[in-house]
Amino acid sequence: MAGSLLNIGLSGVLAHQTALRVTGNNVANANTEGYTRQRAEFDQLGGQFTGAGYLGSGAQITDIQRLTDSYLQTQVRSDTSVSAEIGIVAENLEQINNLLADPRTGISPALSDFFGALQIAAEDPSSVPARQELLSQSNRLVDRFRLINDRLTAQSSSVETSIRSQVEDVNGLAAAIAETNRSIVSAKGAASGSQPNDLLDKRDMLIKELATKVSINVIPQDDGQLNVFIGKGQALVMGSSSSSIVARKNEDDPNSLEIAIGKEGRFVQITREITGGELGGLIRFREAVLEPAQNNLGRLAISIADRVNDQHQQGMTLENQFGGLYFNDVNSEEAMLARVVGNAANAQPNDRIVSVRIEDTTALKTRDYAIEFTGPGRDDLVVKDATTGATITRTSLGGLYPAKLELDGMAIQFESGSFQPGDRFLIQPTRSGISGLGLVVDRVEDLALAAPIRTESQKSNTGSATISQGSMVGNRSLNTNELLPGFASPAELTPPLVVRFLNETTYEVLDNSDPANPQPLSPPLSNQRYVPGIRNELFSSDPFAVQVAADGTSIGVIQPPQALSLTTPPALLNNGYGAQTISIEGRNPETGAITTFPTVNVPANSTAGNIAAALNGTPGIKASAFTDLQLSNFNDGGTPGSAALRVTIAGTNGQPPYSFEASFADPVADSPAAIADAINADEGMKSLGIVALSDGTSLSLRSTDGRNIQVGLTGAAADGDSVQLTSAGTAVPQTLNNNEEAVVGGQLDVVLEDGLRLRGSNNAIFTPTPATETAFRGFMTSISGTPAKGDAFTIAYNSDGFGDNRNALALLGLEAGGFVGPGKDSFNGAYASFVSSIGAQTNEARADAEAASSLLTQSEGRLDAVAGVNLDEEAAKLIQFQQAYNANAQIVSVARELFDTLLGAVR
Amino acid sequence: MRISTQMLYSNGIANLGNAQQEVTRTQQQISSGKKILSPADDPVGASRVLRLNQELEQNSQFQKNVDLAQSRLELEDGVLEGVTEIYQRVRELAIQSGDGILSAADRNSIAQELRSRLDQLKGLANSTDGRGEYLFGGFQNKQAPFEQTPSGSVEYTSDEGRRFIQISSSVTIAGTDNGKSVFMDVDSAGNTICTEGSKGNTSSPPAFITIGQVTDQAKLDAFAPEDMKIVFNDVNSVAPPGPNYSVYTVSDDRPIVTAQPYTPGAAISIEASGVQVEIQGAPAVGDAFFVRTSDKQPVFDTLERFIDGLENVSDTPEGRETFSAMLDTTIANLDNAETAMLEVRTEVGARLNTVEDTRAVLEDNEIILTELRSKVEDLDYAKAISDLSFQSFVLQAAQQTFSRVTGLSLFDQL
Repeated sequence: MAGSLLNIGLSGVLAHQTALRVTGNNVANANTEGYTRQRAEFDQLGGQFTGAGYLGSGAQITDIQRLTDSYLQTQVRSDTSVSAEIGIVAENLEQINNLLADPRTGISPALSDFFGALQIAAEDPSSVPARQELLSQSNRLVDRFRLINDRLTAQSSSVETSIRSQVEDVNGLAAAIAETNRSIVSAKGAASGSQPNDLLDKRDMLIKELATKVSINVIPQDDGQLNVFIGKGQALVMGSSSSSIVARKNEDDPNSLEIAIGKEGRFVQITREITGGELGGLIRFREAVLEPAQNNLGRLAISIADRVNDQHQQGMTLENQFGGLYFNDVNSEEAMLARVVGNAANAQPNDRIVSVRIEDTTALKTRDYAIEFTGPGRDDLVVKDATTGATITRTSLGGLYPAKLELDGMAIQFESGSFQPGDRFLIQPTRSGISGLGLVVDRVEDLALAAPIRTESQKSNTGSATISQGSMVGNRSLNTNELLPGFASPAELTPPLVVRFLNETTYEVLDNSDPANPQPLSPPLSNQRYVPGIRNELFSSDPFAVQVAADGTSIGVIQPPQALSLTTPPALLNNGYGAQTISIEGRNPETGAITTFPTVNVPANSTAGNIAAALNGTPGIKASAFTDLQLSNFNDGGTPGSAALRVTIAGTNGQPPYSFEASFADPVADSPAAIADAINADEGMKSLGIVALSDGTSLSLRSTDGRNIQVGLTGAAADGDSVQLTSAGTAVPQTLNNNEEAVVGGQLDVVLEDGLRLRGSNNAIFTPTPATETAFRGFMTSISGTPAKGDAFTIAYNSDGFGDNRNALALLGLEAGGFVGPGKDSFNGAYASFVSSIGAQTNEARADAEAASSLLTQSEGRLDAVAGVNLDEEAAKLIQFQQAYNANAQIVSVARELFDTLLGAVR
Repeated sequence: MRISTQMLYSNGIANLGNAQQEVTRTQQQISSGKKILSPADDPVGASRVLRLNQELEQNSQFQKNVDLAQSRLELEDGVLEGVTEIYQRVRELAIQSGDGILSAADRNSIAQELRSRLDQLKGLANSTDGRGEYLFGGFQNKQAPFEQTPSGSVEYTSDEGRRFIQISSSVTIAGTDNGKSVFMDVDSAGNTICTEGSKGNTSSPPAFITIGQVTDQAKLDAFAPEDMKIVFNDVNSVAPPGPNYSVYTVSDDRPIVTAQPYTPGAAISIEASGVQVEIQGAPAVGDAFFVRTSDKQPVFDTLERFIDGLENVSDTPEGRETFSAMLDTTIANLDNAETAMLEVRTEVGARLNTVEDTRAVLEDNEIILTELRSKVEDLDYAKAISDLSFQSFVLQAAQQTFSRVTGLSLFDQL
């Protein structure tokens, strides 16, 4: 009896001793990270049957329980991953945010200073100090971009370094977890199933650490080992073995790292599947913030360089030359090739040459593109968004190289090489934008602030018309990128031009190389209509406009003379023009879509003026008509008579035809010059737009609106007078005798806007394939007011015009213009939007980081509530167990006393 | 809920840290005076500040341009005032020389004074702006725009360029006037001629044409507005071979005089149009000279023709009649010149007014923009300081309670 009481007491002492040790261990580890509080589990020892029934035989510690909750652990792990991801994104964003916050490093003030310096230079364009200042501000602008680029590049490489070290950490942790798994199994085996609590804590710590690196999924095995998966179920740890991940060069983009997982040389790329943790955060930051930021600023740099270069090259330097490149050419061979990366795995030989030309910065997007030759055709390809993988377009190149694919303001040029299915290319149109920015002008003389042309009115002009100073539209052909013929020789306009007014509504533009003897241009610009009172634009602003002359067989052919009719009103002869259907097609220069316009049906014997009016009904067509008839070899037959030259012209708007007779009786008094003067003095002729010119021996009659010109010689055939007629369509002179009459129709000049084509149904008016010449001269000017006959305006190269600031003003105009991206932002506006978007991202990341960290604190708190050590609690337990220990010791003591009592009784 | 001792500490520390962060931020705002410390604090506001800064920068540049434009226009106005005074003096001289009792010596002394006035006028027309640029020099403003040709006449050798200055985002004004519009394009009393050698002439040294005289106004009026060109032909065009010229109309090359032998230095009279000019020097074959009818006469030509008339008046009744007709024309031309000058000065005055108005607008803009920027960017000190004292209070409270709470332990009671 006493023995068993002793045993009971002893078991209690031992059990509570253990409990006190567990509590002591808890107190000792109160500040140990990852320690899970433990509890000694008491159990009663089995009862023994006695007469009094089953009697308990004491207490024992059956287990030392680790107090945790696997559900809460999972929660903490996933919150850790989220918080670590957002934390590292926010931390990196803050760096960019602070970079942009510093006014000393921003682009915006540098842009303002650049345009400010340009303002000063515009005010005094020949001042060397002002030009010097402009150069140094331009340098500063480039430096600012460089500075930001350096910082972004530095950040990018620090992100790469971090990715590599994170990868190493992940591998180390994975190996340690596998190792611990193994230790746990063997420890459990050695302790016949008891949990090795310290190892479990250690493993949980390792797993939590791993969760800060990357999002994981933990699945327990039956034997207590834990399997760890990352991404979409890729096993990182399986029991006691682990895989590893590597950071390696991306096949698509060798400048960027990708993550792959595997074992023994067999690796699978899982970059996109990695989420959460610092590794996921770094990848996300690189993809969602850093690369777009580089692209965004790159696009801004490209837009600035492109626009400034374009305008600067249309200006004139202090050395009378065209301005050169201001910044590096955005479409230099090097820059164009740098925008494309061929996949390293493309089939050998590595001979494909692809380049990207920036065509329109207002259509340029900041995304990257992935091109895949998908087959089945050798040149079937698909263009995808490189980040999202969304398909943008599918096309086939048509088998012939070079081939071109126009997209989002750029032209992807497949120059040459064995393109084949499986080929992949990464297109980064804007990534290298900042690093490609550099200042090219380096001498003050090379700044082109003047415009290369100037206009002047002739000193003796008597009308009130004035010519505008003129502006450049472009000095290069957009088709060939060569200088336009007018600017092909340096420091001059070839030819210089003179605009001469034949009367107040008609002018011609002539080659003024020899001012004493201006010559017609080729193609001629004669008989141009002038409308007094409005602004008359002189040349086409459309770089692709073409000029077409009616080249049919009917045009300008003098009809065989007929017997002269002297009826009132005068009878009109037919000009003999054949009937024709003119078809007009337009090709949209951007989409390539063909529009067919309604055909223009020309009945037989139409006047050139009417055909022009009909053509002008089609948008984009500017047709003008004029008639020109030369009269020469005025032969006075010698027989006295009273012959007259009779000119008959159709009336306007249904008015009867009008005839004018100029005396042709006296060869001296009625010289061609006198006839010309008489015709010019006649109000009727004037109102019908007829102009006569004479150099003394011949007479030229012109209708400025393309009416038929009908001339006859009165007098009896016996008078023997004659005159010879020539015209554009009749090279061999047609002789006109007394009592005969002949008519000639007019010619047509048509200016067609970009993409318009015109063809005749037969050869009468226009041939089916009329020849075209460019109508674009690269500059424009306008004349307004009322000119007088003989007034002239000259257009020449602006030699030594260094006081001119027109190009500087045009460059200044770029500040307010919308040139960046589809949003058509101004330079500064684009930068402001960029800053604001980084600000918003940072702001959001800050808020997210706070939210994530408070979620983590909460879930950690909940886990801690289960697993953490509370010293007060442990103190209470100490007291509790100590008292129980004392009590049990008392039981031992009582047992001894009982025994003593019994011995005493026996003694 | 159970709270572990570790958590008690870490939560307390985290809260202290947060409170400290708030205090530091407010302190930073107060010391910088800015509400927005980085774009993330207010992304929209930050981009507005950037835009406002750019506008302010532009505005201050416009203000500089306004100052420059004003000083340039005032300088021009001063020069034009001097020019007006010369016109008035010349007009007085013209009226004085109409006095019948003047002797040849008197006329010569008037001619003398006129010559120096002409030089003075030329000097004013060639004024520079203090930076070595000719005020009336058009685009080619590095070289003197008015040059005396060897024949004595003053020619405008520059262009019609006019430089514009932007003084606000919507206002651009002409900063200069070219010499042609100020001195050359002056309405003349009747049709007159202006002469010019063709730019394609090849003779070296270049032959030049005098300003010429109108000998028969009626014929010229009938001929106008047609222009003439005098072209020197091959020596073999006349017999015996020698220098010869033809005269043509400009518009349709109609011959007026054909292959006329040319005596170097002799006047060329063109009967048909009532004009007489001289070609000086040795014109090369193919050289052309324009004699254009015009209803404008440069003020220099007016003075020169006046001097010419004064020096060459003959004391015959016809001579006196020609002289007095010349005087009438001169006075009428001077009146026109004064009117033209008045127009230019009025225009300059109008531009000065625009400049003044624009200056006021720019100053207003500056105030408005600065205020706007301040609203977005600047700190509300009252609020910030009250925030700071509240946040410091929170921090202090957190510190105190932290030490209280962590100070409690059951172990102390053992």
